[in-house]
Amino acid sequence: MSRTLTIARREFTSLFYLPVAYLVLFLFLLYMGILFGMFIFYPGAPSELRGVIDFSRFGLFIIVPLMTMSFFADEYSSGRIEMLRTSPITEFQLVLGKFIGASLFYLVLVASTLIYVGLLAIYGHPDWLQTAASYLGLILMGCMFVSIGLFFSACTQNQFVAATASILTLGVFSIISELSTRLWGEISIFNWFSIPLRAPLYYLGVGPHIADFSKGVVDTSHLAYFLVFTGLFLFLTYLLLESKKWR
Amino acid sequence: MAEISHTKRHWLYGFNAVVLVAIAVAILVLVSYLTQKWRTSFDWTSGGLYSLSGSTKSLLKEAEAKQQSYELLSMYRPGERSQRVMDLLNEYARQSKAIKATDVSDVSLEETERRIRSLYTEEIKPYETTIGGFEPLAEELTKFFKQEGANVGALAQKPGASEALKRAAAETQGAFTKVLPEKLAYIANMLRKLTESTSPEWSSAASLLKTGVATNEVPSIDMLETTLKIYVDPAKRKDALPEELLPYFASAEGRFKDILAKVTAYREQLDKLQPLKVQEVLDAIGERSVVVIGPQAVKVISHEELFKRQPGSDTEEEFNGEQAVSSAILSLARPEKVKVVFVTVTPQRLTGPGGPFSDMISTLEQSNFEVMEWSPPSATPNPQAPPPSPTPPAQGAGVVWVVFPPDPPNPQMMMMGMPPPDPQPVIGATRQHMAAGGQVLFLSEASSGMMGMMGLSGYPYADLVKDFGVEVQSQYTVVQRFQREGQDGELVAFVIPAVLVQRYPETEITRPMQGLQTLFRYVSGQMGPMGMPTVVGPAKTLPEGANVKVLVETPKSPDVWGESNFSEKMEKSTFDKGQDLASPLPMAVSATRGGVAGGGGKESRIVVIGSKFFAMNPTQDEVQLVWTGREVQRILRYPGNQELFRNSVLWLAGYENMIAVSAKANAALRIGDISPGTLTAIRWGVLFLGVPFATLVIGGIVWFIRRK
Repeated sequence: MSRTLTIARREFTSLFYLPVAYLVLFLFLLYMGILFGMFIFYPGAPSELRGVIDFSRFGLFIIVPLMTMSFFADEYSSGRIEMLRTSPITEFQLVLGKFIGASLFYLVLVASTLIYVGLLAIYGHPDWLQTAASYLGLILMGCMFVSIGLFFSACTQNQFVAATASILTLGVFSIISELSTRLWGEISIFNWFSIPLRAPLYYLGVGPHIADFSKGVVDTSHLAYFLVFTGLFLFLTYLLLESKKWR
Repeated sequence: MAEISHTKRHWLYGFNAVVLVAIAVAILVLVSYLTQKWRTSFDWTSGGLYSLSGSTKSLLKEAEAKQQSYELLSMYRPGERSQRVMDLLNEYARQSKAIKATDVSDVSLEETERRIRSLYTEEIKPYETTIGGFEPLAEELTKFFKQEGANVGALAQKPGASEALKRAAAETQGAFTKVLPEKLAYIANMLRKLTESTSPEWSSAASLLKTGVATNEVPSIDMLETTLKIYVDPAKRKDALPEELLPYFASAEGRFKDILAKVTAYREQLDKLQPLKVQEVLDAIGERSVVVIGPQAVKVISHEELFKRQPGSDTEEEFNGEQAVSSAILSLARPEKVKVVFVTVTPQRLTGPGGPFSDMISTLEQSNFEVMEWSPPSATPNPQAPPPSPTPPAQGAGVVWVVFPPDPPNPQMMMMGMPPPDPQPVIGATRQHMAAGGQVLFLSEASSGMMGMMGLSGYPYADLVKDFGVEVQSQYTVVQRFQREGQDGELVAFVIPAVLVQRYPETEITRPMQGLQTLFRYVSGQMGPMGMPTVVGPAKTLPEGANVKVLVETPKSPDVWGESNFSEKMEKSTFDKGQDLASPLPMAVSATRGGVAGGGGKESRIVVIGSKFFAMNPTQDEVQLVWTGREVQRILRYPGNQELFRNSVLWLAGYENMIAVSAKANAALRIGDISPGTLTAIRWGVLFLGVPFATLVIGGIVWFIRRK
């Protein structure tokens, strides 16, 4: 575990030395600030972060890949991956360490939005438990996005390709539930049998899952969604690194 | 150990990876399926905004404690609405063992109707007896008419019978032996059809007997009785029957009287039948409705009650499920409604459709109150108001009165020598009501403005509330200074007799209202502002046994004060130390006093609120559109107004356990007042520029230091 934490610490601290981390922070706070300032923070509005949390995915699907694109791609392009392979660190520790490091940085992003909660507390009467549920959702969604970003970063040594693939994938996850209502309900295969389409696509999208968290409802199915997808992509990243040994 | 080739190893590892991915995906699908199937939700909002409201939970607890059980049946065909309705009904069932939720969309309507009928067997019994009693009566009538027909026919056979007698006898014999028995048989047959089916139509059967069938010339029992009456009354006989037969019918009068008595008794039995409640219930059931089956009765909730149309929209609807279902359960749980009487000095139309308090009344009715209004006879008639009456429609223990201060008199009428409204009859009646254990919500207003101009100062019910240790300082008008943008964009301060409150002392009535905005407002009249808010608080010395709690207090701010000299130059008013009252100012109190004579030893309760118009429709209805990230929601701007009024009435009625904030109101915990300048500064200085660019600056510094 100490090796995992060492990697996590290294990844987390090294991010603060990179200009891209500050660019990510800037973009994130600008996006969230505009959302909050324009649509949430005005006299008479409900003193809750629901709108910001619910809509944050449309910013995060671009911002998180910018943050994670270098995590493995940089190791490949610089050749450090060979060094890591020969070290006593296992692939599992490597993946977990990088995931924790990236997630900690994501937590810094999230923590920076507490300023909005402070403003709500000064000028309104926020519901603290509802706010806590909103943040729980935001953190879980971020972890899922980070794991997807790490997977694509592990797929290629080109950071741009990793970021683009992550953005496209996360973009699909972000909007698919909204699109699903406009798609066919099912696909018929030569009239032999039909595959239901709308319900699975709706479930796949992040939207309905984060929506409940943002309004203050913690549902076990949404918890499972974020945890299972995070786990799946971490596992796929692990398999990908493993496969590099015998490919 | 045998070596495996590179290609074979490649395939082996590749296959292994594929299997692992397949297993991982299978686990994902399985976990997703299982968590969807057995999902559990935890509503973290403090008011349970996305679960059943506090008042519904209290209601269900009460049902459980009383061991009453309710079954909620959804008749909705499968679809989006059906899902929404069933989700809600299941939430009720999840919340309480007293509730069972069932989707009966696949059960035949007849079966559901049969279940409902089984609950009303006692109510149906008189119908069964009465309708069932028609057949023996019809047989007796048939026998009687046939016999009389034969007798009349025999007259024509007698030697020497005239042609006219023969013709009249033949006609009467035909009517008695053929037409009337046929009609009676027809009615009996129809009744059998209506009552012997799987869904007996008792109301229709009774209606058939009461009205007959005009198109088939089938007589009603009434008509039959009227016809028979002709034969027992010599005068009517002479007018209606052929002259040749009059001697015969004179001799048969006794027999006709006997049969008429039987028909009359039957008709009276028929008249005694009360309208069937079960029929109302069955008529209301439709494919898009919810049926609430209680321990003794059934309530049907229509689609229109569940999905309310939004005002001004033909398509947008709002799911009103919880309110509709809870109201139905409440009305079944407590068939006896508590009466609330709106009392005014001069006759007014407050409660009817379109009346100024109609929305508040609808809220009270949904909480199972029966609302009425009363004003004593007055010198100022109002043709649009209900007629005044010397006696109130309800008073004493278990009745809540809402007593309004007198309206300002019409200046023109005063100039014509008409006296100002006299509050004495209302004072007397209120005193009687309180002495008999009745509870009162007093509304008050500042005596400046119109009332002051008319020389009417002081709160007329001051003596009544003084007994409870409450003091209404109506000489003070509660005012607040606001800011608005002037024509050149500069900020201009102005003072109005209105105050916005968002935080409340912790009391039974106001505890669930924290964060909800309540506006205590005035109304602009032709002669100036009316119903201005005033100061209501505990008296300096409380009478023995009295207990007073402040419910509402104005914010402590230099912009809020109690103005002693509120004039026409109201916008320019300023706080005069020594004359005016500084905030925070109490504006509403609840007070109790030990048992009174007529109240069965129970404590007597009053609530006094320093605003006359705070529960009026325009304040209650004011909605705003709020973007929630996924949709635009309509929420009340001042939800506290409705909650304060409703909770006060619930507390007065002794329904403390029903006091809980409604889900809709909960949706409106708001950001308070921010001046435009501060808002702009926060937006640009902090949110849009300050914080984001600060991170860039920090990044730049880090980069610079590392580079160095």
